[in-house]
Amino acid sequence: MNLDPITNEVVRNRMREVAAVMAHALYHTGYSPILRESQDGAAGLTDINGHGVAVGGGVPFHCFLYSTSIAGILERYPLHTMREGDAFLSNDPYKVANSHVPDTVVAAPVFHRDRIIGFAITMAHKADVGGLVPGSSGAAAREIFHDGLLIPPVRYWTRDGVASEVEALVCNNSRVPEEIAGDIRGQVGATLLGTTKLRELCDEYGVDTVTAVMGQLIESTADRFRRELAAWPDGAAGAEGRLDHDGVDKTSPVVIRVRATKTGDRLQIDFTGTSIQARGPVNALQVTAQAASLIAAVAVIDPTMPINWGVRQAVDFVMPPGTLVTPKFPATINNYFPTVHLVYNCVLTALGKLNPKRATAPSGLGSGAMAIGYTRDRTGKPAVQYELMKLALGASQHHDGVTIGGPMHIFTPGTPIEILESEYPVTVKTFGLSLDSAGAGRRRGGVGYVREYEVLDNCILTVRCTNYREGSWGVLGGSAPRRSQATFLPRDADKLLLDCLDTQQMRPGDRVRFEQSGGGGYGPPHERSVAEVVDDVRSGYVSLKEARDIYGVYLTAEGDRLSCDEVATHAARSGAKA
Amino acid sequence: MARWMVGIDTGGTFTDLIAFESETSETRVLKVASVPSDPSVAVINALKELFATGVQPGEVGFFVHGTTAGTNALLEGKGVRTGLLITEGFRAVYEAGSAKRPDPVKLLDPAYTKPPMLVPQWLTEEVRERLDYTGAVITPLEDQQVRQAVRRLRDNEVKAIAVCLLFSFQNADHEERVADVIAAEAPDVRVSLSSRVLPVIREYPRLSTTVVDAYVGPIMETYLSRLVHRLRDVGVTTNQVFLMQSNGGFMRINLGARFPNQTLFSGPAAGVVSGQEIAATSGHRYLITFDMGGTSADISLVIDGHVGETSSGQIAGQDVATPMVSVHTLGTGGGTIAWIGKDGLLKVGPHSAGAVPGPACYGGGGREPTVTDAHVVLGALSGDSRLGGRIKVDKRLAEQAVKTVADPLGLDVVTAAAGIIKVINAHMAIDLRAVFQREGQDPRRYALVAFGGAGPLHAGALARELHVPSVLVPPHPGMTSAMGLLLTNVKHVYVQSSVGLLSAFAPDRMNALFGALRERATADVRDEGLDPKDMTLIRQVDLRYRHQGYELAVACPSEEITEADKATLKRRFDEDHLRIYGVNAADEDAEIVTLRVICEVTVPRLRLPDKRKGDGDVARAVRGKRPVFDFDSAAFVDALIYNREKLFPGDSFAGPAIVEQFDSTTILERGQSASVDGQSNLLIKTGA
Repeated sequence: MNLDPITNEVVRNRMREVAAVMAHALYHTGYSPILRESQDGAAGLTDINGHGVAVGGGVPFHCFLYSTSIAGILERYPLHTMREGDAFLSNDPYKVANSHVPDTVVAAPVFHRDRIIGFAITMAHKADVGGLVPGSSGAAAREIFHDGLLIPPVRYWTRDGVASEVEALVCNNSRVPEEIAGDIRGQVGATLLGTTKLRELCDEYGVDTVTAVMGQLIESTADRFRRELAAWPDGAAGAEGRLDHDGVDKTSPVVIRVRATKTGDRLQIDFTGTSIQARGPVNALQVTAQAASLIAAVAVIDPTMPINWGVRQAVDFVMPPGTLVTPKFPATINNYFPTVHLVYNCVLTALGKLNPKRATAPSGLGSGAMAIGYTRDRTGKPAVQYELMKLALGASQHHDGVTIGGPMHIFTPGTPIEILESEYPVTVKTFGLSLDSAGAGRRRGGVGYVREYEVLDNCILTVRCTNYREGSWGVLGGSAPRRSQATFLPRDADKLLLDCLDTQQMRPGDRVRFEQSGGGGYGPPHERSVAEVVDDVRSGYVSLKEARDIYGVYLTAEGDRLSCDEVATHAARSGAKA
Repeated sequence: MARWMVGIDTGGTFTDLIAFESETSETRVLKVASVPSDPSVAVINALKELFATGVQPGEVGFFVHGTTAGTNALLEGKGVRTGLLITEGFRAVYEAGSAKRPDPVKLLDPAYTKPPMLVPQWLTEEVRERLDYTGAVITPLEDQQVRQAVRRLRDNEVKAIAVCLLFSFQNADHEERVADVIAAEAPDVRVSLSSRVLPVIREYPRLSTTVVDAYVGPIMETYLSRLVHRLRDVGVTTNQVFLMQSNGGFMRINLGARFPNQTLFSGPAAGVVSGQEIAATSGHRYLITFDMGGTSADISLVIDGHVGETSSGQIAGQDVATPMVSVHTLGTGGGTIAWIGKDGLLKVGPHSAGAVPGPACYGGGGREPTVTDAHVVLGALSGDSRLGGRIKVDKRLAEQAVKTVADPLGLDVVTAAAGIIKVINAHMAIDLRAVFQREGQDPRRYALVAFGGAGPLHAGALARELHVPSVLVPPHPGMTSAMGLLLTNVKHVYVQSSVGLLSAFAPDRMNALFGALRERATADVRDEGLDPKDMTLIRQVDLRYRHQGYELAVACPSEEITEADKATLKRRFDEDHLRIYGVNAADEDAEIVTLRVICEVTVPRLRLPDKRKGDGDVARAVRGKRPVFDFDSAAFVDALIYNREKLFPGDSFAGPAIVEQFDSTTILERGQSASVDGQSNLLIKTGA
């Protein structure tokens, strides 16, 4: 179909609007505030093949999971069995590619007259779907059946409303049944809203126009990706990152290995050499690892392109079976996020080596979450203080890395200290910056932070993080940042370094201290201007010692004044270059 | 003697004046060029033009100013060198910021950066002290340690110091003592205490707001004292001199330097006040105001006559949590630039040609095609129009500019120009629909009010797309911010956080907190030279369900809160939550977070007389006709050109038509009809 460029542009924008409207509804119509606060979910539209054409919300990489989700649903419910008003539910990662069991998938066919033209789909985190521990994702899990109730694709909703038998079954397996029921209904509502909006778009512009624009959206992103890539030099480059352990044998690290090969306008990403699948919960599904790789590729190649299936079409993957990123059923995947974060960092680094002009240093490692479970909050009820860990981001050609941010383009606001202390029996002792935590470089990585809690009542601390032993790295001569770590500081015993998957009983007066990694540095530290190093020292980001030893800038502090020994600085810096 | 009310609003390009004589209802409107380097010069220039029309300076009995002095300082990064004092151990609070998601085009950019901090870490000093969540002292403040910190800031030559200590909203003692030390050690430095600027829970927004207060405070002080002198110099002697605030009300100019945050969004707020006035007089209680100027468009909803409020404002990336009128700003204006994207399609925005060079057709050297240029190509704006009464447009330049995008698209200039309008309208419609969705409102019961030089050019098409049945174009759409300056009251909003479950919150404690806020209102109103007896007070409680990250403001049923009133508060909260979010948790307890007192004092206001009814023969207003592009048929049709000044109540006519006036141009599409109502608003039936 011949599309005029104006209609094409307008309908594209309208399609993105539908995804954004769905995401807004997803965050605002559920029962529990968790989704609304964390925005841990996304909404999108696919074509008839399940290929994502538009995505809205806080987790854009979901867009690359949709085709597997839709295929999984179609396997049980072929197109001709679908009816207008149906919505299908599943949370079985091995069937519908949700990243882990607490993320539920809801998809609904979009009918125009009697024809299905695509799907509306949402994926969003739920508070609890059963499993070993509250919140479902337990460190002790050894197979997917430990992660919670596995719902295969089921027809959850029809024109007549909810399939109440299914709803009863799902709720009966959750520790918070009302919350789950409300949240899934909210998710169904957001998904069906997408079908209505897309149908309206067909009425307004014609169904052929809308489906043609869907095809063109994918095609033009693929074209754009290939065109940008074609301008790069051909070549191959690798990167490797490590997780502390597989969650069971805590003595040896596991490896993500990535090799990126660019030939003409094709990109191949090869995971050969990645460790065999873990017994513990640190595996990630193949499609999730691919999605993280694709997001990294877009970030390096052209972050302004619209995200859709076209990106996937332009990249080939080599992924031997049975590894950390290609686990076989029934491997558990509940702590997948740190693994895909590492995949992201590796792909970012490998592509940066292929085209140093686009290189960006990776963020610090140590993503994940911590939770403190209290028997009594300030109002006397049991409660869990849950916190997503943040990190510092890596430096890039023109900018120092961001201090305190989310990895992989995920932006979630933290809970204010004044709210935390008003709700839970806890005192935040410090929320400060870690001196010398940033990877040094011509552009400095973001600065790591330190956050320490003193609990005022008995409670249980759960740490579900990563990379306390194995850290991040710098690029193009930039330095690695300091690693993340967590320290338990009991009131009347010696301090104890925690493992990244750990649990501790805490008593009043005990403290726990999280020191989060800085970001990787970019370029040789000796090339950072003296004025910037002076600023870093004055701001408490860099010590006098590091300024001298790493940056080659000789400063002395006299009271509040810093003075620079220019002769020594010049000697150190020119010596390094020689 | 005549007594004139004068409102002057400073905008990016023009400074607008409206004057009104209350006895005779005589009205004057005029525009002068803004003077960004010293906006008070343009204020005085506007007054001089007014005086040239025969108004005597001594006859100005009431003067209101909408200022952008503080806003510009933030936008241009030209505030003063500012120091910051925080609780020891908490340097990461400001650094972490709000974790707001960046613009979509920046979302996947690995090199994105946060907005800059207005105070660097090396001008931030830690104060050894700590309060707990009730305000009780854990670590006492040491004056000696504070003194050393203040001296270091003084030696670094800061002009202002912001102080934000944890839980200072519960107990301001430590912050007050820090202020005493600063007064002794650095008496020339302006001090902003978070416990005075915004005593509410959540340390980061309070800190950011306090820093902004410190950063622009001295700029406001200088600007306002200069303005007061200049007013006196030109003979304006009244003491009834007010400033417009972001909350949609006035404060006396002598309070302006004390509350610099309050004026940061005054321009958009004044526009919304105009919208509210139209809701009160036109019979349309549900309005969406759409104020489109050269570089941006402001949207707000008037719901059953009332405007929403927000505490999450942002200017130049800086978070300002001062309560203010809720306005959504879009980056689309007449100067928005069209270009070809990497996908080969036509993109419009977000870049703007701004005031300089401006659209290509202004002849200011702009070469890139803008929305205004597209309107010129399509005949909506003609070479005979004089925009703002001053700028003459050059059609040839507009065509040349549009051709730069038409050629690569393989389109003719007219089709490309129409494309520019379609694409920008699609963008704006998406944002307008989002506003309706967020507020849970149905557009079919709304009227769209078109403001700004460019608003009435797009209003008819947008309203039709949004299923909004009617459009109102007020008599002076390009002067609505100035108009709003004469349509409101003195208004102060006082907030105080105090967290606790509603069921357990003692009514006495609420009454005591409200009493303290009332005392602050009384003191400020007295300082303004007004009589506290004239205050009307509204008391509100911000409630949430436990662990929610946001609150809803609920009005208190009575002056003295009783146990029974608490049940009413809970019921109202549940109802509002259901209406806005579609769900509630009526069987769960609610939590009180913040108490608020809104204080208003009535002052004289503009009352535009009903214009005399016309004879019904609109031929008197017809200026001529010209071909104007019709989007439905994709062809030019002859449209009658009306002169707005010659349209009177009772007139009606049908599209295709163009209505021209010195401050704006209205498009009436084919199939739409317009009539003039008793307040001289143009009422368009959009056909939606």
